[in-house]
Amino acid sequence: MERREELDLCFEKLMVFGGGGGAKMGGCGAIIEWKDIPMELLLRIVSLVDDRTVIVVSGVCSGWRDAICWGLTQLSLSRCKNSMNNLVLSLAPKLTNLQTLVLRQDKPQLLDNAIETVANCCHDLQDLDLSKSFKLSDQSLYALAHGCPNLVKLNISGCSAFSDTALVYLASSCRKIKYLNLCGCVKAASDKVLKAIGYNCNQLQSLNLGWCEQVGDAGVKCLAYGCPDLRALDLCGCVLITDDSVIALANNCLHLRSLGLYYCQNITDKAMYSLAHSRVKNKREMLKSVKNRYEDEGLMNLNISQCTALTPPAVQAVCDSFPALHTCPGRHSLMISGCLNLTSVHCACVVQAHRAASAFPHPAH
Amino acid sequence: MGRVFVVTLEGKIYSCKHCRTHLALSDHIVSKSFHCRHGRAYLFGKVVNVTVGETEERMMMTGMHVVADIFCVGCGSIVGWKYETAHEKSQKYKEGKSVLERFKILGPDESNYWASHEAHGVGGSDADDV
Repeated sequence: MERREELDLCFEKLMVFGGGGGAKMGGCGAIIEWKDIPMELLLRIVSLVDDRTVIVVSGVCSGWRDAICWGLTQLSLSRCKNSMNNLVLSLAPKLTNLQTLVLRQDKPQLLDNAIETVANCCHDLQDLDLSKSFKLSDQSLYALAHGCPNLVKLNISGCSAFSDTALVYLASSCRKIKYLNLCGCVKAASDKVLKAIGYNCNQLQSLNLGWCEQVGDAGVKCLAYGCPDLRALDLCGCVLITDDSVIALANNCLHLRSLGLYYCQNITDKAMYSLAHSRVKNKREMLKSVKNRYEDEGLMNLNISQCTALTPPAVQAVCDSFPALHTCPGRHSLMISGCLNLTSVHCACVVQAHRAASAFPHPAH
Repeated sequence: MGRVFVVTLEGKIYSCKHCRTHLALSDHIVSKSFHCRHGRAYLFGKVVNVTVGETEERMMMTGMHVVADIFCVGCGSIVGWKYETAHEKSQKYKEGKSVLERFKILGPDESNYWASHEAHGVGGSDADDV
């Protein structure tokens, strides 16, 4: 009971007009107890606590339950070790205004029925993280396609059971998608899917196709033609990719900032020169748009580790064309790990440091 | 050359003994009955964070093979070899796969391997004669 008294004291201190009563809150009635605090205030407090506490709070009283269920827009259940599926089944129907939901699992727990419930109840969902949901099947993708057409960010990395047919269906329905993570979805990420994405999801900015070994030039080309706003593409481990893919990207995706080609051993100098030359071609167009100086930087991140067919002049050309690519320690963004013949490639910073050093007269003179 | 790019794995990981760079998952083990000079070796379907040396023909217990040594990208130490081509039909299944020497790697429970634990010449398919 001492605890209760302490809490009541806290409450009274909070109430600025001191002591119970005083209907200063227009029309809502007196604030006498914790359950009466305005909803906006409650939601503000709740936004500062962890997700488990949020769920506990929603069980305190009916007023708080309604406030949280109406106002909660973000929730993460990743800490659940065993009961994530049941939790989603019981919470989803109440949280109809949910926009962000993180269901990444360390131990696979989620089943299709939970995702179907989410899709049926949370139509405003924009950001969904289902990474490592090994137990989910295509049913979930179909449900999401029907129920959550406003999806902007979707992470299904590691979901190895999805097939490409279901993902094609999702792409044709969720046309506003901007961030898609398909890392490790070996079955789901195929050229067929990339064609569907290129056709339907024209606002796509970031796509992760890491370790998707079925992806080939045909798919990446469709992606490049269909998604001109692409900023980040990771093709790590996509061993079938050749220069044609990179050339298509260089010519069509003028806002590309980050490109990952780790272990794409078919990449040759041709791809590097196409990247360097696209920069020259697009400079004129870039200068026209006064929008953003930041836009001018071009590639900021390039990973060509283990692309052993590349030679120094080609990679140096790329490094020279994109001032944001660095090989200097601390700002490293051009990854050439494993390419033992590329040790001579340096970013402009090294040259500048040299010049600065030699500008000082020798102290002995 | 600059900062080394490494791939991180999730699951039961075999890593380099010296620098703990992730090398392979236990899910990708094809066979545990390989042998090299330092004892046992495992055949993996997929290995990451290694660079490949020059290919050469080598005579092994099971016949002539074209192999290339593989080195850890983190510390450069040799961790095993990769089969590029096998001349005999029965050995074709090894092509493209890599062998990691158990002595050079830490197991999923971070265990080391000491050659004296096992008697040599028990089962086994290949010997490294470098």
